[in-house]
Formats: sequence, C-alpha cells, structure tokens
Amino acid sequence: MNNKTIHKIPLDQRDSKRTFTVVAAIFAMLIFSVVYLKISFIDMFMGLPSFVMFFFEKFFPPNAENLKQYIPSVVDTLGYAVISTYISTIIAFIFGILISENTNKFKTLRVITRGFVSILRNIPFIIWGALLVYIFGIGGIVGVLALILVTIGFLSKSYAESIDEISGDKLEALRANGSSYFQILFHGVIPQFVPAWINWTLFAFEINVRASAVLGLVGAGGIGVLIDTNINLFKYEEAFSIIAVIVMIILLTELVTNSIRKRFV
Amino acid sequence: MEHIRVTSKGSLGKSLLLVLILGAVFIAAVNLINLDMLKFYERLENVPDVLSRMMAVDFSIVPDALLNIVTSLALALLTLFVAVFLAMFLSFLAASTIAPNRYLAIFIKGFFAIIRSVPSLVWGLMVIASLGFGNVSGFITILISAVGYLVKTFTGSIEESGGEIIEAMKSTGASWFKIVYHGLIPLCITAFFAWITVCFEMNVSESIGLGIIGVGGIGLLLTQAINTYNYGQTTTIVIMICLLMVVLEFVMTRMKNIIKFGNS
Amino acid sequence: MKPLLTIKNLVKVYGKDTRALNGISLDFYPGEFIVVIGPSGAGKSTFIRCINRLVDPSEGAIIFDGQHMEKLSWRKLRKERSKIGMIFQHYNLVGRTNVIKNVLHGQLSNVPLYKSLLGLYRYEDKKEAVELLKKVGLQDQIYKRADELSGGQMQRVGICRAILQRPKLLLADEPIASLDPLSANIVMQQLHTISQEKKLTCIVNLHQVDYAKKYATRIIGIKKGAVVFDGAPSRLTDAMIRDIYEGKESQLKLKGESGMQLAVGQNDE
Repeated sequence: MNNKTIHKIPLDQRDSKRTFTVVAAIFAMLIFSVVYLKISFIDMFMGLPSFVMFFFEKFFPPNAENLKQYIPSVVDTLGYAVISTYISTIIAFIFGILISENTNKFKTLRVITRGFVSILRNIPFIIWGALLVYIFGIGGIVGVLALILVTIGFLSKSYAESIDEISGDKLEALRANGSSYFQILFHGVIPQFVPAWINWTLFAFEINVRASAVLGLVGAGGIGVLIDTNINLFKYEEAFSIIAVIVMIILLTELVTNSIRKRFV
Repeated sequence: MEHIRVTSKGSLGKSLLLVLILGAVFIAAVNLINLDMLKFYERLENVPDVLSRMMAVDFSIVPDALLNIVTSLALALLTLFVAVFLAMFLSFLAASTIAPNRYLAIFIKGFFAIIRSVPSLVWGLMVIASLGFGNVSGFITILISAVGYLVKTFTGSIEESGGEIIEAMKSTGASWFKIVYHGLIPLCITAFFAWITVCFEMNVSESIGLGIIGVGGIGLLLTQAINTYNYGQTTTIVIMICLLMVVLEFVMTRMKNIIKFGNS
Repeated sequence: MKPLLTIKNLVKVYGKDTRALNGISLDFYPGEFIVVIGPSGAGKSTFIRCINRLVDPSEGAIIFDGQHMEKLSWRKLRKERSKIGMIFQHYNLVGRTNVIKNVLHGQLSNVPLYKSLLGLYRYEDKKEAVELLKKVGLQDQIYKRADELSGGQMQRVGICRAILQRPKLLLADEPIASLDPLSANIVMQQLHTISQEKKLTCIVNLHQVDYAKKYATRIIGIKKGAVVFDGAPSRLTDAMIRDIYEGKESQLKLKGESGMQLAVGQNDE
C-alpha cells in the first residue's frame, strides 16, 4: 500500500467538490456585487471609520436645548403605535382565523387570505408609508394607516401559526359534543390562544414604535421628520438629541413590554 | 336557590379592570394625538381619482427596475457577507458561556443593544450626512443593523446550545480557539444559517427602504416615480418589489429547510 | 328490545387502500357496557370515531336512535352528536379554562353563544356540574385551571363533561391508556358507576383485557378491522385473547400467578 494513503485518513465523508462549488459560487456573487455596485475596496473599508469620525466630530455632543419642543412629536409617535396596534390586532385575528387550517376548512379562502396578507407583509413599511402619502397626502392618519397595514401582515401570519399549534385534539372534544363553529372558536381556540396573542401583540407594538419613529421621513407624521429637517439644515447636534430621544422611547417600550410579558405569559 | 359561580371570586373583577385599562389607553391615545380627521376626509375625495390613475402598468420601466433590483440584492448580499464575518467574531467574544473576558462580553452586548435600538433609516440619515448619497452609504447602513441583529441572534444560539460541549472540551484541555473552532461552530452552524437567511431578507427589505432617503436601488427608482407623479411606473415598481419579496421569502424558507433537514 | 345503535357493514378506507375497517356489523342495546378490545392499529379508534362521525365512514350505515348518522347534514349532525358523550385518551380539556367551565362545555350545544360567553348557563346545568364534580371527588378543584390537574383528575373532568350532555350513548376512546395504574383504576371505577346510575349505554375502547373482563357486560374483539369476538366476558377464553392479539403479543402481558388474569402492556399511543 502506498504510504500517502495511510497518512491521509479523512475525518469527513463530505464531498469536497460540492463544498468547493458552493464557496466558489458565493465568491463569484460577491465579486460581482462589488463590481456591479462600483464600490471600491478602499471606500468599503474606510466607510465605517470615516463615518465614526464624522459622527463624533459633528453629531457630538447632543444639543438638548429644545428638548421640550419634541414632546408633542414623541406623544404622536407613541400614539400612532398604540392606535395601529389596537386596530391591527383585531383585524389580524380575523385573518389569522381565516388562514389557519384549524379554524377554516375552506382551502380557497385560506389561500386568498394568505396571499393578501403576504402582500401586506412583504412590502417594506417605509414603502407603504411613501405609497399611502402618495395616495392620501401627508398627515398623521396616513402614518397610522401604513402601520396598520404592515402590522396586519405581520400579526396575521404569526397568529395563524399559533392557532395552528393548538392541537386539533383539544377541539375534537367540542366538535364531538355538538358545539357550533363559533362556540368551538370562543371556548376552545381563544382561551388556548391568549398567551401567544399577548406575546405577538406586544412584539408588534415594539415594531410599531420603531416604525412610527421613522415614518415622518416620508411625511407620515411623528418624530422622524424632525431628524430629517435638522440634518438637512446641518444642525447635527440637535438631530442627535432627537435620535437619543428615539432610542430612549424604544428602550423604554421594550422595558415595558418585557415586564408585561413576564406577568402575563 | 344558591348562586353557583362559573368563575372563581375576583377573576371577573380582574378581567373587567384589564378591559377598562386597555380601553382607557386607546381612548387616551386617540385624544392625545392630533389626527385631523377633517382634512383626511376632505382628501378622501381625491383618492378614487388617484387610485384609478394608478390602475396602470408601464412596462418601459421594467428593464431599469430589474437592474435596480440587482443593485438592491447585491447590496444586501455584500453586506450580509461582511456582517456574518464580523458577527461570528464578536458573538464568540460576547456569549456569556464562552467569553474570554466577562466585561468585554457585557460591553459588546450593551453596545449592540444600543446600536439595534436606532432604527436603520435613522442610521441611514446619519451615514448619508457623512458619506453622501450612494452605494457605500447603503453598505455601511445595512452593515450596522445587520451586525447588530446577527450578534444578538448568534450570541443567543451559542448560549442556548453550547454549555455542555464547552464543559466537555474544557475538560480535555482544549484552548479557547479550539473550543470555538472544533466545538461551537459545528454545533451552532445550522442555527446560524437560519439566522443568516432571515438577516438576508431583512437586508433586502432595508436596502429597498433606504432608497426612499437616497441610497440607490429599486427604492430610489420608486421614489423618483412617486416624485414625478408617474402613476404607471409607481404601480409597476410596487408590484415588482412585492414579487421580489415573495420569491425571496419562498427561496429563503426552502433554504432554511434544506439546511435543517438535509438535501433530500 | 330495540337496539339503540345499529351498525351495518361499516367500512373505512384511508388514502387509497389502507382499510382500517373491513365491514363491521353490530347492534348495541340500551344499558349495555360494551368494551372493545384489540391490538393497536386494529381499527378500534376509527370504529368508535365513526359512530359520531369524527371520522367519516367510507361505506355502511350507522343508525343511532332512529337516525342515519352517515347521511346527516352538518346542523342535524350537531344535534345528534349532543346526544352522544365522548371521553378521550388525552382528555382534550381546554387547558387554560377552569374545571367547571370545562364541564359546562358539555352543554354548549344547548346554549346560545352569547350566554355561554357570559357564563349564563342554566341553573340546573350548573348545579348538576357541581354535583358531578363532587361525585368524582373534585369539589375542591372547581375553579382550578384544567392544565393544573393531574392526568387522572383531568380524565374525571372529561367524564363529567360527557355526562353533563345527558347523553343516550357514551363513547370512550382509550380512557385510561395515558394514566398510571392507580388513577386508571379510579377512573374506570367511576366511569362504570356513573354510567350504571344514569343507565347509559357505554362503548369503551380498552387495551387492558383484565379491565374489560371486570366491567363489561359484553366484549367485542376487533382484529385487522373486523369483529373476531362478540359475546359475554365469560365466553372470552385465553385462546381467543391470544388469537385477537396474534402477531402483537408484546402488547399482551399475562399476569403471572393466576394465569387467567390478562393485562396489556402500557401502550401509550
């Protein structure tokens, strides 16, 4: 026997050719990306450091002089998130029931709802904002509307998955004793669904607060527009204090939702 | 005839209180914010007109839109690649079960918690202010939020599944690097892949959204169509974005399943 | 005597050619306590689920209380189903709802939705629910959430729920298969006592042949989707039992000393 083969005892049975093709394909795509985007490597590597430098030079320190003037925008931002979460949770629940196989036996209806919800979910929220501003004009209601649409998309799918997870067994007992569809829904499905419902809805609220903070960029109300105007006026330090406020709102929201979660789920 | 209650004492009062609080929050929110319904109703008259004009497609924009979709995808992919590298490195330093230095771990986690709490579009505004419009700004912006996301999820996966392996390998006297390379990476790689596919979807969606504030890609094309009141183009681009995202979701779900359950 | 339930040539085919039931014909008379035995996969569960059409039969007739169950429309089926109580292997209680509400679910088909949502069940229903719970020894657990109970307790709630329907027929699909021996004994005892008190007709699927012999007035053996034994417990010989469980002997455990007493290994599916 050849000496070489003795030394090479493979530890893997993996097909090295395939690994090679996958790695080669990924590299090809990356090189293509760099070329296509016309990004120079110097820009790529220097981008982050130069951004950090700029950040500390211009944005720092935050200018908190006008802090009081932000309060109405902060309230608006939170208000949009609250209202849209409320409205979308109700609509999404109905959609969730229509999507789940546990609660809807009609396949065509299931597929149609699923498709509709997937359109709502898959278009990025800022695009929804821009589109709705285009249709309805600027204003807070448009922001709420955009949030509602996106949240319905997200929640319907999550709700449907949670309803699917409630085992059919549990509902079988109610089916077997002659309960009507709505009685099975209200006495069998909903009580079991409550923890998932709280969890997803709080999560949706977190997302809504974040989204609502930036919807102002497309003219849909809230605090986001303040950042845009201040940056455009080169008032970086003031913009930074607004950003700090947004960060505080978001972190506080997470704190609140997490404590609610701990108590109820 | 004695009364038989169906719920235990007090639970009815509790749920009533909950409903009241929830209702109060909603009413407070509606009253506190300035929704200006009147103006909205006035504008509602124009809506059918706008919508009917939007019921058109303009195929002349399709080739241009496709090129821009490639831009968005390329941006997302490039960022993903760099972000995965950075996040791999950082998350092994940050996961509490394997972190070489406790304070460094806490610092990394806290730092990225703050990074994550800034919405990506806000990062976008800041980056554009410093680097100007263009793909580099897009790259940096998406990179920041992608690394933020991946560090959190990777760290979570390592902490969730690594404990026993780390203990076993430590007892054989393996070094930190060896534990990571031979123990944790093979263990967590499937979980990582799942997060990476999710992150790619997020990157694409962000790179589209960033177009709104001036970074290139399909989002920018849409903004231009909207600003020039080109209804047909707007509709066409929105449909294409939607198709892109649906296809992407499908492909990513397939990939996740292939990685999870093998090729068969 | 007129049969309460008549089954004629019942066939159930799953998919293309998996025949779970292979032409079963049986009559059930009021007041009988029937135990259906057979190895897992013999079609016991399918058989019992066909009676109230949780599983739709492929062929054959099910005549319950003068009604052809297999032909009923959805609305009429619900009405007939309310006359048939059912007990499940996995209890199938709504875990996050309290015990008394779970029992009152037995009356859902007679109460309009808004009343049931507000908990406005009829007084006599509530009273009977409490009495039933007392009878099975759960009077202290009335307002506990169902998922806080032990398996045996859950199954007793399941029995109360089925009895509160005031059914003419009680079906039980492996009621004690997921229970430890002690709870299994209590549950089986209570199921038997209550059904005797209310003069109910009972059809019970069981793995445990010794329980079947202890409680049944009539035993039916099912093998490969067909009836291979039908008669009084005294007529069920060891040889017959071995024949029923042929090829699946591992599910059958002969109890050492007596030789006559038979038990089946705890098969938990």
